[in-house]
Amino acid sequence: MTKIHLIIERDIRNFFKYRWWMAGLISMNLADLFILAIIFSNLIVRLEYFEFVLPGIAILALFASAFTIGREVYGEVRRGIHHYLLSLPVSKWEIIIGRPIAGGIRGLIYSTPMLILAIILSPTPNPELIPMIIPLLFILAVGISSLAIFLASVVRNLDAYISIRGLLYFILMFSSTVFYPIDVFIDLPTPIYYLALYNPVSHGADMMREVLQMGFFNPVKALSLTIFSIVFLVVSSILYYRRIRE
Amino acid sequence: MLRHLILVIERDFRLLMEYRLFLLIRWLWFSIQIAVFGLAISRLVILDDYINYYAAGIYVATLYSAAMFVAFDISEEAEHGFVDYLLSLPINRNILIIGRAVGGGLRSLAATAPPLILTLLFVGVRNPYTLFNALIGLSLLSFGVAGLAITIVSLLKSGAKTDILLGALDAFVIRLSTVFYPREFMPPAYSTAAAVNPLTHAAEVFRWALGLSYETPPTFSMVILLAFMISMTCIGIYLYERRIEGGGWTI
Repeated sequence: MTKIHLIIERDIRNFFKYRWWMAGLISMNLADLFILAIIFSNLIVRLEYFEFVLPGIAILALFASAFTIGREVYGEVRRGIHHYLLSLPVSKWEIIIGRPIAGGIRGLIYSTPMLILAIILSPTPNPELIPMIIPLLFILAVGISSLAIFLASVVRNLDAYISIRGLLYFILMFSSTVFYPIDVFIDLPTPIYYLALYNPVSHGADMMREVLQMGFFNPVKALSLTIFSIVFLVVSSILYYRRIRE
Repeated sequence: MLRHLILVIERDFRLLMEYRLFLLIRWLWFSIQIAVFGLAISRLVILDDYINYYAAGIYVATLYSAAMFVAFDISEEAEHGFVDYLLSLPINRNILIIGRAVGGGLRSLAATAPPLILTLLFVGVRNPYTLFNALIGLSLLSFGVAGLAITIVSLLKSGAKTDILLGALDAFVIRLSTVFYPREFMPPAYSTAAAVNPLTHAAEVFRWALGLSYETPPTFSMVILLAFMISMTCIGIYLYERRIEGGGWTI
């Protein structure tokens, strides 16, 4: 019988050790929503900005929390704790596959309050579509966790890892449709536009908006999120496997 | 005595050099914030010349974050037992403490010099005299925030608690100021909070110097910044001096 659930359980338990970090992150998300978004609503007239940014903040919360698994994986590899994991009666592949799944569940757990808030405060013309969001958010969170594990597996230097992680986080957050619609990127340099267009964070935010505010579900976005997650799950698994075998 | 003070400040600057990569990434973040967030959001807002308004504001936010960093250094030194070493040095304790406060403020100005230059190049300097005044205002903010950071870390005596409180403070202090938006667009409660926020006054003085729109008379803002700097530095030095000894520092 597979013991993958033990790996997932361990990572979820570890997540609750960061409760103070989570408190800080929640305050950041709430400040974004109830200060920044409210004030920008008075500065932006072409769209209902508060309503627009609301699902985006939930995706941002999912993104930030799912990304934390990379920090743990990096710390374990750096300190050699992965040797302990490898000595357990669990197969290598159970460890490797368990980590991004746990990361995805962690992302979903953390973003749930923001998601509930987004559902409550959105017009939600088509409530029967809401259950479809959960599995898709989980898929996105697994993809983001895989991206974080990919980074933790390829970067060796601690300073470089911390720096690249922070930079990637910022680039994915700002070059997405979390804070602004895609058409504003048309006037920006072309690479930024394409980054925003293909950014999985953009797809997650747009999908949430479509379901919660426009009442329709876009299968193309769901497919692209799934492809992103599968690609990074496969690549990060191979790289993580090679790293822990060294 | 002055030599000892310079030694303490020099040590703080050397510590800054250890964060080279971190600084480089901070400068990159700053550029990304202007080049992506600033440009994108300026296409949505109804304010004219918003990108320049935003660039000046985001520099003030960067200076604030850099000045707060002294708190992490102090808590890390305490966690690693390095405070005992510092106390054993043949340097008067008051000099050591004043040196930390002054060094914290000075090094944050140095750490944010490239973003400042970038902002000046981006927005353009219209009047060197007003710019000089604004630099004084920004220095007051830097020293005041370093004093605030020392106050917080001395009160809490815990790395984790400092980390959390500074994170939460960062979220609210920056957003409840005129770093991103003018006060006239804020709801009354937020506007009141912004009116007493030192970041608001630093941003106002900086925008005035750059010839951008501002809402508060620069002299009034300078007085607020001076009062903030004096009060925070005095409280920080007083608390750090009283709480540096006796252990009780936790992770």
